[in-house]
Amino acid sequence: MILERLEITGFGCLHDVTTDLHPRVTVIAGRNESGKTTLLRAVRGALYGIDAGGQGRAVDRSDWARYEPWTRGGYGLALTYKLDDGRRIRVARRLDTREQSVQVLELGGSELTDELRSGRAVTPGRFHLGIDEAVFCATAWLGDDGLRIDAPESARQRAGQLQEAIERLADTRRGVTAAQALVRIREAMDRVGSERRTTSPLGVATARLRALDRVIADARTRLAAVAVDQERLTALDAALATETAQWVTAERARIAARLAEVADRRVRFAEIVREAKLQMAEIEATASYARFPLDVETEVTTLGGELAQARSNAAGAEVRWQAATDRLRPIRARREEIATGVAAIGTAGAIGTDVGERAQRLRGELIAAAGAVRRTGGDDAREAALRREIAATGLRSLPATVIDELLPNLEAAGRGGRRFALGAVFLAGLAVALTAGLAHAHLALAAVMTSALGALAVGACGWRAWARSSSASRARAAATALALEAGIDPAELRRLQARLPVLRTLHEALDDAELRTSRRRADAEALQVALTSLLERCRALAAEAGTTEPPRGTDATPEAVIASAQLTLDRVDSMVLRAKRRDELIAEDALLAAEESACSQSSDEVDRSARAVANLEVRLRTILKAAGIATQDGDPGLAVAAFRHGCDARRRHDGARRRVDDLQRSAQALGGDGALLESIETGLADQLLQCGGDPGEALATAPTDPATIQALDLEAERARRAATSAGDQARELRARLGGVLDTLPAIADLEDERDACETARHRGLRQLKALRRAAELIEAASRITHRELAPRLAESLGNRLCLLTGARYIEVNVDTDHFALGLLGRERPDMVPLDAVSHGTRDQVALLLRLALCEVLGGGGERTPLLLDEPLLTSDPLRRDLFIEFLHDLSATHQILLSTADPTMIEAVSRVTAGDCSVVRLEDPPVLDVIGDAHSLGRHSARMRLVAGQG
Amino acid sequence: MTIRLLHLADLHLDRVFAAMGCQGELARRRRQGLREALTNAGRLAMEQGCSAVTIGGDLYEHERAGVDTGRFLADTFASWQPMRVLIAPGNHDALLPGSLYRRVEWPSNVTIFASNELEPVELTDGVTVWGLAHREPAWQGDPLAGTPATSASGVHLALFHGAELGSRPEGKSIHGPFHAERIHAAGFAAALCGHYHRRRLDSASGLLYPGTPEPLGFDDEGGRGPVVIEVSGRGDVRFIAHDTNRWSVYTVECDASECGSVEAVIDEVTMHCASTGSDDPERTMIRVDLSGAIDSSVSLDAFTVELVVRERLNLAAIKVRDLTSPYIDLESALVEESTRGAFVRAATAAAESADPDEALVLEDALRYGLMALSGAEVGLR
Repeated sequence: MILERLEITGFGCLHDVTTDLHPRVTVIAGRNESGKTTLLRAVRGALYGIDAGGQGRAVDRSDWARYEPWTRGGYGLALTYKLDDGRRIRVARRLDTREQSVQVLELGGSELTDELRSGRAVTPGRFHLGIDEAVFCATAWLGDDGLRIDAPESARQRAGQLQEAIERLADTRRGVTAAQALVRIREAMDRVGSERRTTSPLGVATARLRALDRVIADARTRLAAVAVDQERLTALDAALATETAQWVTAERARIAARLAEVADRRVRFAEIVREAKLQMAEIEATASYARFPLDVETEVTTLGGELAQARSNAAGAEVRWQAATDRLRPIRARREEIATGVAAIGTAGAIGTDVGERAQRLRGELIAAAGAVRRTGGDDAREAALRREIAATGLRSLPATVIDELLPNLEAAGRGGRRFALGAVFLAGLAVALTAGLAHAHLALAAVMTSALGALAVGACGWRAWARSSSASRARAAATALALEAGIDPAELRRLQARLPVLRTLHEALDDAELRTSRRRADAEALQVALTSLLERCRALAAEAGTTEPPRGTDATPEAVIASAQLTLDRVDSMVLRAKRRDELIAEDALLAAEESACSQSSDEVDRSARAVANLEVRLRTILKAAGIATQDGDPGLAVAAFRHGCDARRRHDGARRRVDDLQRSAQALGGDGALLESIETGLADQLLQCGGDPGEALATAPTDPATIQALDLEAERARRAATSAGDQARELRARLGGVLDTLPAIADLEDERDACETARHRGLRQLKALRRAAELIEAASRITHRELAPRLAESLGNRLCLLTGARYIEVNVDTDHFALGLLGRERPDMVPLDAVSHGTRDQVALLLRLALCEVLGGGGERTPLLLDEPLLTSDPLRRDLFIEFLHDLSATHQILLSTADPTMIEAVSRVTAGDCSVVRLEDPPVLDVIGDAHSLGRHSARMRLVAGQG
Repeated sequence: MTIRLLHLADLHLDRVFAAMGCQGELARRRRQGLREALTNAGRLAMEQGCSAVTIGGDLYEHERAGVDTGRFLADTFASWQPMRVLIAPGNHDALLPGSLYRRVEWPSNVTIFASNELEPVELTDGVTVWGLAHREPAWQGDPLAGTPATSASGVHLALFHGAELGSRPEGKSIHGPFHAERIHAAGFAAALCGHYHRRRLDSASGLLYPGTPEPLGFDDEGGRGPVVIEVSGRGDVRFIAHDTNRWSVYTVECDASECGSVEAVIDEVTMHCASTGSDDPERTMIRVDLSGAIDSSVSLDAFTVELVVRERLNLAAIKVRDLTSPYIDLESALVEESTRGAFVRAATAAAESADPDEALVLEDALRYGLMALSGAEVGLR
């Protein structure tokens, strides 16, 4: 790229300046503050635009603000340059506003503005040179410190600075290397710290987080425990309320019962007092009987009773004596009659008491035997009648067994074969008739079959008739033989054949009658024996009863035996009746004798009664006299009554005294003091009122029995203890909770802090992760970039250095880590480090390195013009000339714009380049000196003007 | 005769506010503010002549609610007597064993619904409130599933903590799901609900979410407070919202693209925060979403910005979300033949194939790397 013309409408101190530039070396000359650097900046601004700030960069400190024209007028510039392919490009920028307007024209061609746009910016330099502004600044733009040819630092430092400059350019194209960036990253990581470094923010947050976790867990545990306790306290309070209510209820019931009981006691006490008064009056009234002999009351009463009884007995004995005298006469008359009767009956001998019963039993047996005798007769007539019937059949000689054999033979003889013979004849006739009919009807086959069937049927019937006839003949022969054996004519047998069944029945009936007759005879014999025995027993009984035996008759028949026995038994009964009557008379006489004896004893009884009465009267009188009671001769009962009256009085007296004692004890038991009871009642009524009870209602109820009161007392005490226990527990728990509640931490506060710590920790970890990742990426990117750039730089630099130094140095090595340079020359076999070469070579290397960087970083772009802003400011003339010479050689490939305030510099350039350069003097008016071949400039002009006051 | 009730929900006593950047004294002030919100609600109810205060769940947060909270609630409700208090426990204050509802001795005017099916409480003659309780934090039952016996005459109101599925905010958890269309169908004139922190008064369907009485997060912007329900003698139900919140939250977006230094960012953020026009800065919490592309050389530190702006404006809290990105001509950087270019390419390529978490890390790594490569101190975010 060759810069041809720069037109400045207004840019910093420059205003309305237009200058043409030499294709090889252009010297921008002027005093300080004349606008040399501004002009160079204008060239750069034309190629890359002017940064106007924004996007995080301050506008007021932007280059756009910095190079705002110092005077009124337009703010803009235009640059015309030529590319290697011959195209000429004009870039015009209007910078009046931050949104700069740009137009890029290919002279004689089309507008290229949009083609050269990168984002919002139009940067022809980037497209045509292949490098961005940063690289341009770092390589093609050299300030006075760019080369620092005569800098005081040591060679090593200079080399290091150069390496670092390359590294910065390769890494960031700014003033930072990747290594420095990593240092920044590590500083940031140090600021974040680590979880284990407790002094770092992350460590603090982590440690605090862990501590807070423990504290919160502990607080939660305590809070949960408190919640449990509180729930328990609530339950206890509820239980306390319930127990208290139950206690109050029980206490109310107890007091009410007590009140009712005390009231009842008070009433009873009043009644006791009243009764005691009555009893005292009774005691006073019966005081005279206080010593009455109450101990002999039983004796007096007994004696009185006995005396009355004795008097009654005496009177009774007298009456009975009178009655006995009247009774003795009939008794004695009757006894005489009885003696007469007994004598009349006589002494029949003693008869056993069971004789009568035994006689009765024998009579019963006798009656039964008579009945049996009657049942044994009457069956012989039937047997004889049956025999007669058999004889009337005419077959009397035919025994029953023969009859049984004859009957089946006679029946078989009667069944002949005649019916089958007739059947065979009928079938033969029928078959002939049918065969003839069919033959006549020309049904030969049917006729043949009919005849065949007919023949078969006739044959079967004939065979059957023959078989039956043979069987009848055999039976008939057997019957004839049996008849002959029984002595009966066979012809007679056939005649009497019909009677055989009747004969057989008669034989069976006869057999049955004969059997029954034999049995009856055996029974009669046994009955005869029994009757004889019975008769003997009757006679023995009669002998035992002492009767005379009746005359014995013939006892051959049962009836005779029965009659004899009956007679004997009749005599025994008569003896039994006589004995019984005599016993009755003797018993009646005994009774009458006893009665007679009793009557005779009444006289003695009268005497004894009289003595007893007298004795009792004496004893009674003696006792009464001792008791001070006068007795009347006539009525001892009155005296006894008087004594009993005294006794009653004494008992009432004693009873009254005992009652008074009881009442006193009862009164003592009830409290012994009515006033005290009243006071207690009043107190209980007050207590009941306090418990919410109604004393009136309690007093109206019936008094409770002591057991119930005791139960109520126990219940109230139990309720009180339960309420007290619940209250104690609740109080204890409340006190414990009270102590705990004040020390409970606020979990929300802790959680706030914990969340903040968690956030800080999370943020720190995230930052660390991002920083680590950034460091990794930068390191990797750095390695890649350095590996790629180093050989390319070495190649580019080596080619140029070889060319420009006349092949003194033929090869350059660039280290991939930090771009350390080594030169291989012809004179030495090894690589020479940069800090070991001469100053001049080092400066040349430095400049060439920048060009190499431009080439490498610019890719396939145009050759970059070099803008050198007073680069040789402090160099000595020799070195300056050498470097100008080097620049002149270099300008063959790279256009050079060189600014200087030193007039000798202009002269030196003119001399060294042999006038192959141009000089732009920034004076008022500016002057363009063309030294050497003016045609090499092409068309050019010098229309420059300095802003007033900036000269 | 008109009956009035005051409904509130989602008070979240004992909530932690670390997510809003609050801790220590500020967090305690926020929690105290929640208690004051309840006290103020009671005062408002008495001023409005309400018969009862209904609480639609999440009255407190079970995990952190302590003894002091229980005591405060019992004392507060007792001071409202004879006005009744009906509480339907929600998912944060579920009727669990050990919950305050079970262990605190509540005054007689407090009714806590204990069944997870609607139960009636006759409030006044003709007005019945049906309530239910969440007995576990993850209860998923339908509050209106069982049709209660609302056929009797009078006005029936439902009180529960539930998620109306037709209006569920994105990401909001579902507890006790139901549809607003079923409110009238189930025989209720209105459903007094809790769960959603944004206020919603829907007279047509009878759905009422009062929202949180005080903002609990930066998304809870605008006026908030309890809602008075007026039940006319004819059975008409009207909702009247009251803004009683003492605390305010704002979210402002601040573009820092033009800022060339941290100071400029602070100035920009200060200007945006001041523009909210909050009356009571000491009860104002602002979230700043800082966006824009900032030059890598600007070492932006969100904590520094928060600290300075809070002190400048005397705000209760400010939370800066650094959503900025490093200013970089990515297109240029991607073709730049340098370590920086290679770094950008590598980071960009890795981010394209990374999972979301890793992509965030790579985004930060790119930011930090570019800062470091620009020579500036790495500003952490």
